[in-house]
Amino acid sequence: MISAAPSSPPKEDRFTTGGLRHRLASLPLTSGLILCSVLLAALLAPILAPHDPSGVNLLGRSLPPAWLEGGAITHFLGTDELGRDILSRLIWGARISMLVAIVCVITTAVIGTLVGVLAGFLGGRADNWLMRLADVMLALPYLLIALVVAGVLGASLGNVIVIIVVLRWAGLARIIRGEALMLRQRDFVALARVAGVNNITIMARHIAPNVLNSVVVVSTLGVGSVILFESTLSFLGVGVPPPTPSWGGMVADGRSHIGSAWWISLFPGLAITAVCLAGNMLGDWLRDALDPKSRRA
Amino acid sequence: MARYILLRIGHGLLTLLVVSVVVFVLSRLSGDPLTLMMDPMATQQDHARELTRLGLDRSYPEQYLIFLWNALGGDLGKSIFYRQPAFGVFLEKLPATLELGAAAWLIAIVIAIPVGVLSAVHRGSRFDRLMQVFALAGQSAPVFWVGLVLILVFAVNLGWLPTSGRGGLRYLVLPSITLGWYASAFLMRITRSSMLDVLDADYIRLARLEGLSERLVIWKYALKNAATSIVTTMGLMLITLVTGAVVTETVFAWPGVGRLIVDSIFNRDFPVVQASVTFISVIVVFVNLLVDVIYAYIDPRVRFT
Repeated sequence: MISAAPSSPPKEDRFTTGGLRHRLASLPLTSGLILCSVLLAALLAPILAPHDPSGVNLLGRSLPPAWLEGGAITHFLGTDELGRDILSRLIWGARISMLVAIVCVITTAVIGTLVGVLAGFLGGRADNWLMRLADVMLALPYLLIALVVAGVLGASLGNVIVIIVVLRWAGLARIIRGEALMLRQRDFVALARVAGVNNITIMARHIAPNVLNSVVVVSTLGVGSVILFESTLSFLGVGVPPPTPSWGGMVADGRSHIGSAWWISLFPGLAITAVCLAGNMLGDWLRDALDPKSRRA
Repeated sequence: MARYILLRIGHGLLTLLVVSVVVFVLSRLSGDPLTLMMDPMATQQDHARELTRLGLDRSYPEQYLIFLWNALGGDLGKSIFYRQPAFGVFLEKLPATLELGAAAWLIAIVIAIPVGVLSAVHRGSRFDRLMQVFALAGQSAPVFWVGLVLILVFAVNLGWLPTSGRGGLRYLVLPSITLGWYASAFLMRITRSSMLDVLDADYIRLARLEGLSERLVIWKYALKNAATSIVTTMGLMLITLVTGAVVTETVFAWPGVGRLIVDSIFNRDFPVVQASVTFISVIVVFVNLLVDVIYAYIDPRVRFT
């Protein structure tokens, strides 16, 4: 075991020889497949769901999944304590997760990029204040703040989205600011200045396109954590309010029945894990593909 | 160095100021605390007297200053639910959370650091890839769900451990594994990547050329140098642990601070929420400050950035 590697192992050569083909071959198919199918489920929920997600049926309460004794094929993943079909609720719940993820990630990307580019390019006092603010945001025990804000303002989808965006823009802004700071010193920026291009055009034409890679990577990696965060708030009862089916809320519904009807909590939790895992793996792959420097880590 | 520390302290105070403003604004948004606190039989005059006594008839900026002054003196209001000083209620629940946090922290370190180091040394091996997936899964699976699955397997099906509550060591096992696994995923990735950075360095190559044993090179020379970046993530880890503790305590009915906060939000017991969030923020800021100072001490370069 100890005999391994007196010198460092050979570096991967996928970025030097046959780059593109190799990269395509290592494309994380599973992650893409998971994300696409969840997205599809979210879009086509009314067509795909076999039952009404909020259709209470007290006669068919806590039915086990179809492959267990007492299960029915019409309720493939079983029913919850109110007799609602779990598969249908999972499919409709995908809507909430995807909606929150997409809206939050895009809004965060726009705000974070804007703040980062402005701070990094302009420098000086604006940079100082914006980054102080970002540092403060990053030092907050964010779940606690989110919990309190959501608890006071009331549980709603809109509040969840606003809270997530307000708490998340700073991380991206810090990274983008660092890159803008480096780009500012590059020759092409200096030349643009000499040519009389104004600041706004330089930022839009020369800085922003060059930080795009990082924005994409950080945003993709953010999908998983946004979904996780939303489901945590929903689990604690301050996220998306019932009866709207959300994955975190569904896990909470099954909490007190874990001894008798484990499927109520198990499947939504599995869905959250799968989607987050897919998002994180895709993000890691994108980072390696777009930024050769970090391919080791 | 002194200038750097002062700057960091100022930064920490700024963070606390933001927290205090957020908490204050929220406490006023949550409605008139008197309607919850007062005896329903109280007269109009009682109500007015109480308003003046608590300073609630003054302007908001004045109220904020009063709140800040009282908070500095450790007076964070009185719990509506428990009818005791809110800070006292918080302190009563703190030991349970510290117990859980310490156990989880220990589990995270014991798992994450050796695994992270071995992963880095055997980069690309089957072990490494397996552990990468393990770390990724740890970051992707929601804490509340991991806790429930552990309850299902070890408490409900196998009957080895209790499902919830706090008592002896048996009660601590499942919650601390839940929280520890969550924290270890994060720490493992940090350890691995900082070891990778160090392992390529010239002094490691030199140490190997000199014929030092692999064990000495890796666990002493390399790990010691990688430790700086591992130490700096401890501050981040504290936030991770606090966040995870709120959820873990809710799942396992662990009578700690996290559960107190969640319960108090639903009880509309705002003084307790206020006291808990303020005090936890003070701890988080203080630990971050400490980490920054230690880092600056180990690595003088950061003092000048």
